Formats: sequence, structure tokens, C-alpha cells
Amino acid sequence: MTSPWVSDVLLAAAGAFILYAVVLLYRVVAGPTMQDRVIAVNVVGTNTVVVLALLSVALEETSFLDIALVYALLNFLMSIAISKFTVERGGVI
Amino acid sequence: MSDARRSPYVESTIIMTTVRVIAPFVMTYGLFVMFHGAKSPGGGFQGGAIVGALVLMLAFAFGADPTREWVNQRVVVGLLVVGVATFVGIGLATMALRGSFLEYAVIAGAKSSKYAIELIELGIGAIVSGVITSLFFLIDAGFDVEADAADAGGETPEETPGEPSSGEVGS
Amino acid sequence: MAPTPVEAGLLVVILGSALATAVLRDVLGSIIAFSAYSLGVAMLWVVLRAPDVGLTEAAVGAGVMTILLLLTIAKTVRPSEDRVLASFDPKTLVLVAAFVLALGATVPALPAVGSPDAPVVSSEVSQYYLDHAYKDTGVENVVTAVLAAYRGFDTLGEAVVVFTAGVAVVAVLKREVTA
Repeated sequence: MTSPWVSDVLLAAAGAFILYAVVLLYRVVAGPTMQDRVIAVNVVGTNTVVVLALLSVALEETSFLDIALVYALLNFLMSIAISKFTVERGGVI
Repeated sequence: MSDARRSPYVESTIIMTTVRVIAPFVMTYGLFVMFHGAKSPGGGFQGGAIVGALVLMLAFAFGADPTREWVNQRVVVGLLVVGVATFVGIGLATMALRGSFLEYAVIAGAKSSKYAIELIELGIGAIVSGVITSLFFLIDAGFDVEADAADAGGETPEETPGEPSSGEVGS
Repeated sequence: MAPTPVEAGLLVVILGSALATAVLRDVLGSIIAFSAYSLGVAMLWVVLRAPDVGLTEAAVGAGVMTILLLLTIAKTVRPSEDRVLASFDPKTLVLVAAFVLALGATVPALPAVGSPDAPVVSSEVSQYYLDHAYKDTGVENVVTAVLAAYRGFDTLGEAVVVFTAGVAVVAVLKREVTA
């Protein structure tokens, strides 16, 4: 259904987003404060949703969207947890 | 027991509202993954993990102690037992119908094996979500002795009926 | 077989975040890097067309794992130091390097991804599952058919292992709390 060059373009876009994730990884490692790391990981998570959606169309596997949906629903939980941990210093809940 | 801690608990409006809006969808999606494991990727383990994450999400938005009281500890451990009992029960039912253990085709009815497999996925989902929920609450209560002493000991009665089923399988 | 750009980028993300998990001094930083690792691994499973495993990684990695780890370090004492990277014992480094080399030596023996000569493609067993799964079980997802029907007994064992581990942890932690 997807013509070859469209799926090539989509794969290239997915590759670009993954490159972006590599750059963000630098922020995760180097981030001077913990907040930098949290936000970087949150962006990697959102990035993952986008990459999974692109791959789903490029590889013509609609079931990949299920995984993107899981990340879209659960990704914010991770960021909230880490943020609360850093703010309240040990009191997670 | 934790009224003193419960009343002042107020989380940021954004988190509470987000969780309130998103929670029904997460629950629906978790059940979808469990039920629909026969057709698309997914199954009991994945769906159970999603439902378990839902309880964690609620605990983050509305506080661990109110959630702990809302999700009864007996119910959680009961979920584990019900999950294993479903699985073993289906296996024994096929044996009662003169088939082999877990030979679904002997159950009468169209697509019986598909429905039996979906029931089993639900059982696995119950086990996984129960384990995740109880792990979360126990680690959270971990070393907070006085807060948790009152509702301790809820799981010992349920623990015994589960053990014959696991022993049965091993033999 | 050279990896495609997508796979190469994913490998960089995964290896980078795994290394960061190991070398970051702060435990919280390690946990954050570990969640980045989980995101990368989930994408890799999808690229390798294993959506069932990817979904597991998504559900466990995004929701549960990070929070349980955070709770654990919240309940324990963690060292607060200004150094960013952890220091390593040289002997440990040598041991880890030897282990990685030993594991890496087995990689060339594996068939390439998607190779038609791979045992999983050429063997009769997987072809049997693909041909008969729907007819035998009425389930369209072959992974579910194998897990729940062909290897149902094995899956029962796994479920009982999870159940037993859960009950054991509940019992031990409850005792810890009440004692």
C-alpha cells in the first residue's frame, strides 16, 4: 500500500528522530542538573512514540501503533515520578 | 490509621486532572491488550503490566495511602490466586472432558480453544497486575512500621489455597 | 550484513544509555539513563519485527520499572557526591571486558537478521506452527498460539513462578513490616 519511496522517506525521518535521540542521550549523561536529565528522557520518550508511528507506516505493521499507544499513555508517569523524587528529595509519594 | 496523613495530601492540579482523565483509557487499553492478545501483539503479561501501571499512576496522583485503602490488599492477593486457579482450572477441566492437560479443543462449542486461551490470558493478567500492585505497595510501606502495622497479615489466609495448585503442577 | 542507518542509530542509543547506566555516579542518574535504555530497546524490538516483545518492554519499562527502582532508592540511603562518573576497580574492568569479548566472539556464529538460511526459517517446527496455528487454536497471533496452546504447560509454569515469587515477597516484606 505504501509506495516504496514514501516508506523510504518515512524510514529516513525515523532515522533522523533516532539521531535526535542520540543527541538527547548526551544531555542525559552530561546534564549538569537532574532536571536536565528528566526532561531529556521525557523527550526521548515522546521521540519513541513518533519513531514507532513512523516505523508502523513505513513497515506496514499496524500493530506497532499499539506499542506507540502504550508509550503515549505511560510515558508521563516516568517523568512525574522522577520529578517528584527530585523535588521532594526522597519522598516519592 | 493514616487519616492524619491522608487529609493534607494534595497533588498538583495538573497531575490529578491528567490522571483522572487518562486512567479510564489506560484501564480499557490494558484490558484490550489482554483480550486482544489472540489477534494482535499483546497478551496477559503486557496487559497485566499496563493495569499494574494504572494503580501506580493513581497512587502518584492521589497519594499512596488513600490508594492502598481503596485497593484492598486482600483483593490484590486474591487476584494472584484467582489467576493461577483459572489457568489450572482450565487445564483440569480439559482433563475432566477426557482430553490432555490444556487440550482446549475438547471443550464443546465453536472457537472454544480461542475463548479458553483468552480466559488464560486474563488469568495471567490478573497474576501480573496483582504482583506489580502488591510489590509497589509493599516497597512503599517498606520501613514505615507504624503506618502499616494495622493492615498487616491480610494475605496469610489466601496464601494456603494457592499452594496446592502450584504443588500439583510441579508433580 | 551492514546495519541500516535506523538500526545503527538505535544501537548507539542503546549502548550509550547502557554505558551511562553503568558509569553515572548518582543512582538517580543511573535510573534515568536506564529508562532511556528501555526506550531504545523497545524501538529495536519493533525494528526487528518483534512487536510482542516490544509491547512487553514498553509496558514494563515505561510504567513499572522506573517507579519501583525510584521507590527502592527513596527507602534506602544513597551516596551524595559531586563526582559525575563512578570510579572503577581495574580488576573489575578487566573482568567485564573479558566477559564482553567472550560473548562477542559468539556473535559471528549467529545467522544474519532475516537470513533465509537461519535455522528458525528453515526448520520444520516453525513452519508447522505457521501452517497449523490458526487451524488448531483459532488464534491469529502465532506467538499467543505457541505460548498458550502448544506450550501451555510451560506458560503455566511461568505463571506459577510469578505467583510464587509474588507471594514470597509479600510474605517476607509483611514480616519485615510487622516485626
